[in-house]
Amino acid sequence: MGIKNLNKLLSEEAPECMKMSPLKALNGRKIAIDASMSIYQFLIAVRQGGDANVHQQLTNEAGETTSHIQGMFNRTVRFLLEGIKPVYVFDGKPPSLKSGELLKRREKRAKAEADLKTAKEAGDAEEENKQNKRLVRAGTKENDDCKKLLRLMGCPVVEAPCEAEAQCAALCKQGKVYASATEDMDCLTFATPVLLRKMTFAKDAKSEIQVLEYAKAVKALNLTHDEFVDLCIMLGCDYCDSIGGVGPVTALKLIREHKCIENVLKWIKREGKKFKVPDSWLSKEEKEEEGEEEKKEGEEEKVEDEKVSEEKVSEEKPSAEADAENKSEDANTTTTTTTTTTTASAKPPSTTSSTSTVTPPKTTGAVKINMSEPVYIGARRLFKNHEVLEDQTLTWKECDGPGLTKFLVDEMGFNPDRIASGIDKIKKAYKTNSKPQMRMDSFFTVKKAPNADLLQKKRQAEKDKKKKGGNKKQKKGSFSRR
Amino acid sequence: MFEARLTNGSILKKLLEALKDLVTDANIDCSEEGLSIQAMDSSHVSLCAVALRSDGFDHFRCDRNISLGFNSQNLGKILKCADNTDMITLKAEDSADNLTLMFESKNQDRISDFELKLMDIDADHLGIPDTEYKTTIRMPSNEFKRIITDLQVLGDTCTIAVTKEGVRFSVTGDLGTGNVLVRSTNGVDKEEEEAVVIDMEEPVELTFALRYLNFFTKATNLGPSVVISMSPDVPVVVEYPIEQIGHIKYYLAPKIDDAEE
Repeated sequence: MGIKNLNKLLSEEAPECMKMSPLKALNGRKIAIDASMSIYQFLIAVRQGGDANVHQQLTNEAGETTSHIQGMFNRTVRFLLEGIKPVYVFDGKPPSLKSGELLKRREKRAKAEADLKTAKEAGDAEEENKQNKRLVRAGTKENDDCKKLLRLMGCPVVEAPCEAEAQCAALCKQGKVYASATEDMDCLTFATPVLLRKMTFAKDAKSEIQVLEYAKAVKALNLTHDEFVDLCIMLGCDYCDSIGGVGPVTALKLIREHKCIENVLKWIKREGKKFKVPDSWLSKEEKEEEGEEEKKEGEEEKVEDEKVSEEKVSEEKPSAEADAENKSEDANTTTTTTTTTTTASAKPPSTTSSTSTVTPPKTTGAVKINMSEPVYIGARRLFKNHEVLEDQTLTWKECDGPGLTKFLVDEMGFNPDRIASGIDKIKKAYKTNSKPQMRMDSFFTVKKAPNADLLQKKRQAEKDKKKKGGNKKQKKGSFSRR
Repeated sequence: MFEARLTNGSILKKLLEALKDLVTDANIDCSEEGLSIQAMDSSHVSLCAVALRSDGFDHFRCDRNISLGFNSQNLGKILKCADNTDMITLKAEDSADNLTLMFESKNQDRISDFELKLMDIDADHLGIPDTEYKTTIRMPSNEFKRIITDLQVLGDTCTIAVTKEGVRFSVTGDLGTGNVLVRSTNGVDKEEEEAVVIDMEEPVELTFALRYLNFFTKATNLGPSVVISMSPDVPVVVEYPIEQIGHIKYYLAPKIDDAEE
């Protein structure tokens, strides 16, 4: 899911593009939300059962899952009350290049199924919960339920022809909305001007939203858009493998030096570097050449391989740490309104690369990859020219009270009082929004704060200090080992 | 090195009272010209700008431009420890993490000093152009405060309309409606501070959230009069001049009829 380690890389190399901001600051904004991502979060997080029990998704009398409806309803009401105008964007068909990634996810799913079985036999409730969550799938029915719900609530729904993140970014670029909201970092690769993350707040917690600005990010990294896309591909995206032995720091360095993947590959070849370039990255001719070389260098490569694997281990460590951090952070934020979640194992699919649960609704089996061109070119094309809808008109209508009651109370078996109060809130929000409060920044332009330069210097100094401190530690470590 | 001394320390006390409900964190930007603060509320609907000129201080020294980031609740707490008659001195080193506040009582029999930990704040800074407004109203600040408090009883949105007749503040709510018309006192013999002066190029009518106007009236103690400037479709400016030293200006974005939906 997303771009591997991009978040970490940005927080280290371009901290000025990230900001935490209270939900209130989004008052009056239109925001495109990746609905598929939200549905997964709800299916995973909105459950009942105590710590020691096996958790159950919420269901209605007929046994149909309603976790996602519950979650979607409550969150949307909250958005509307804050003066936010949400647009929900649903995934279309996944791009054919993603099939490799989807295959991996399916494998993980199969593994989770097996693990679930063993856990059940062993009676390990915690493990069972964990694996259960890995098996969650949002199918066509869940998506259709949510679309129906949102239309009844008066919110616009956009069905993307392909990936929802790309559509969100497109709406944002066209100026139809202020920002895209998803956990998926590749939204930034699609160049959404503003990306919002961690909008998974508990109702009254003071949790803040992470705001990422694309323009500031590329400026701070000192890259062009093309270079940034290539960087993301090298970090590892959903569409192709990445070069073995190249971590975030190396990737950034290489792109800064060589400007594009083609040059990086040439350099690797010229310098005879020990990076493992996946076969799919090579063009036909190169593959043939490579085959010959391999025979010759058989002996040497063995030694090099060892080095590569060593490097890999050292690079994987920080990412594992980052994942752990993310998990604990997200565990705090996903405890949603009405139901209890085990915080330890609650994790939305987005941030951890190990979760297998996220699979777009329709998985087209056919693998269509143009074998004659290196796969990263296809990935690059996807990031730059994604299939999106233009000319969407977004209108927020008054909510259909009776329709909502019929759907939620009669069909889904929700508590009538709770739904009635929810409908009241939506109506109230609609009324206030009919004469919307303007924002200060729509009149006055944002300019650099007087202390901006100083702050940046200070941060840079701190960063350098940290790096030095880190080195010292390492030295100490190696000393004691001796 | 930054140092500024103000014999009338109560100005700083009142200033913080005027800020702290609207703004949580802000920077005091210090330069040779004086002190300035610019900050928005958390919803980015209103903006508050303070300017205190260096010549208004009894002593002012600022070698390098610095920004002192403070939490307004915390600074307010410290300023509460100063008496209204105290002389207040602000001090900070060029790259300091602390702001020193020294309070000296009138007859020098008590001197207290406090240190406030500063914070790094990078908030959006807005460039506000100098604009000519179509109407300006100058009226007693007490009068303005009273109108806002009264109207808040009835609703949460208030329309301010300036016509030849005068300024009409009106509100509509669940209880009913309310109107307050304030007429110009031109020609009537009155003290300058009690006068209502309306300068109108063309009629203007704008709608605002009373909640924010109410926050603005916290500055009433800073001066006897308030100046309200309005033009169609732009934020209103509510300015309180502060004695000989500067001003506090509040900007509030209007509520508009949503044309696109």
